[in-house]
Amino acid sequence: MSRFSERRKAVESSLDHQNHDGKEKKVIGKRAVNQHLTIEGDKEKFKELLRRRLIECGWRDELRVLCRDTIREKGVNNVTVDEIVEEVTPKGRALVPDTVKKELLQKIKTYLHDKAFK
Amino acid sequence: MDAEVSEKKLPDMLSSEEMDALESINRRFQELMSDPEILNEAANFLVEDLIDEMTIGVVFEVHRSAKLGVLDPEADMSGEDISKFKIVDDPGLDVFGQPPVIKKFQDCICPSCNRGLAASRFAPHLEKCMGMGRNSSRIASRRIANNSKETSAAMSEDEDDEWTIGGDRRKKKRDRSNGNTKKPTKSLKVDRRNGDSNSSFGGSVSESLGSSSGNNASFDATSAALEAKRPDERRTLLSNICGVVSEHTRKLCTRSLRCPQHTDEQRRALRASVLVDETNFQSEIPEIQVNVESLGLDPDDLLSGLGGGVGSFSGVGVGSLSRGSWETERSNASSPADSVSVSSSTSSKKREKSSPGKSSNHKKKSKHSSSHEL
Repeated sequence: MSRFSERRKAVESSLDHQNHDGKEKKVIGKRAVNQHLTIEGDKEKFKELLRRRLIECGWRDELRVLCRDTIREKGVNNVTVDEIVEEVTPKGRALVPDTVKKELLQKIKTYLHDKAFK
Repeated sequence: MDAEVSEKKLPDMLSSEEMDALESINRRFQELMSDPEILNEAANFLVEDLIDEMTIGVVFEVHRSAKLGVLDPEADMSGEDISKFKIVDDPGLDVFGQPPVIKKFQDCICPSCNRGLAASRFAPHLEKCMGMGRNSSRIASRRIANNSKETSAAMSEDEDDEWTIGGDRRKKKRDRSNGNTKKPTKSLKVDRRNGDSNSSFGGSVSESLGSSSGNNASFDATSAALEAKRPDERRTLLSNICGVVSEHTRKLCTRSLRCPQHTDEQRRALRASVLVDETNFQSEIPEIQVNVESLGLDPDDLLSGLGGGVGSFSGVGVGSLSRGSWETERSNASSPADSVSVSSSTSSKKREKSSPGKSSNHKKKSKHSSSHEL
């Protein structure tokens, strides 16, 4: 059920976006890919794969330590989620091992390629 | 697209308008993906997006635990520390990873006698060792009753009725029981106790001497109390009381012959040891005289000195003399002679320290012991 309602939302948003054709092609492409993946339900598949890989290589723990440090820096009572995200996201991206990144990229590429030339 | 076909049967169905939109999206997607540059771009974007999502997931998690106050205790434990406290799930081990202890022996040390013993035996031991508790007080009251009875019956010339056998007699008994059924742990204790009893033996001898010469009746006149008696007295005494030597108080059991605390075997063993001593003592007497004579002393002189020194208690003096010879005989007879010789030498020393009134008496004894050493 949730899958269909998700799709529905994605379709609705795409209907909205169809009205803005003057945007840059790349942005549209990204959005289209996101839409497509969400509609097909394959995004969850990739997410699960990435999650497994990142846990395997200890990235999650590293990121947790980063978050903890940020929270301690700012004080538990003053910190907000946005602040933590702002602080941690760039570091988190850098911390992801290249092998994981490459593997995921390759998989997405082949997936998109298959979809495109079906 | 078969997914779309199956979709139509579900209540969450898309309207025809939406279906059109979906198709247009698909078309556009395929259009876009045919451009490899856009595909690459999109894939990169997707990867970043997924990573960001994961990051946000972690951030939410940590933020939540921080706000709930769970974070700090967690933070104190780094990875290695946690592994120490993990519950072990191996077969044969408990949750702490330790092998099960089959039987834990807890040793208590008795504050009164400094002996180590198992915790389960501690309370009964304390009852006996300190003379407290129900049973002990009962024994004590009975002993008091016996005491008054015996003194009125004039059973003993000494006023004490706490019979204790120290020194090598105990050792003999122990050795005998060692031979039968004694655990190796107990034999250790026996050795130590023998050492103790040897010293107490010397003391008790001097005390018994004092009492026999009429100075005072010592209540603690222990080992020699029974030994100081003449054989017939000993026999009458043993025919009236149980007489088994207690392990803890080292005293004779003064209860009736059928006292439930001791077995017939124990009684028999004690009587056997006493009787053996007696018979040996009788054969010993001439030997003593020979020894004395061989030392160049006048027996008559000695005897008169004995009579004068002890005075009206000459019978007692003879008794103690006989005790001395008996003791010497035992030192001859007992097989582990090392501790025995120590005890006899201490006792002879003690005798020398005693009052000068009995000088001839000790002289004889010390001579006697020296002759024994010859």
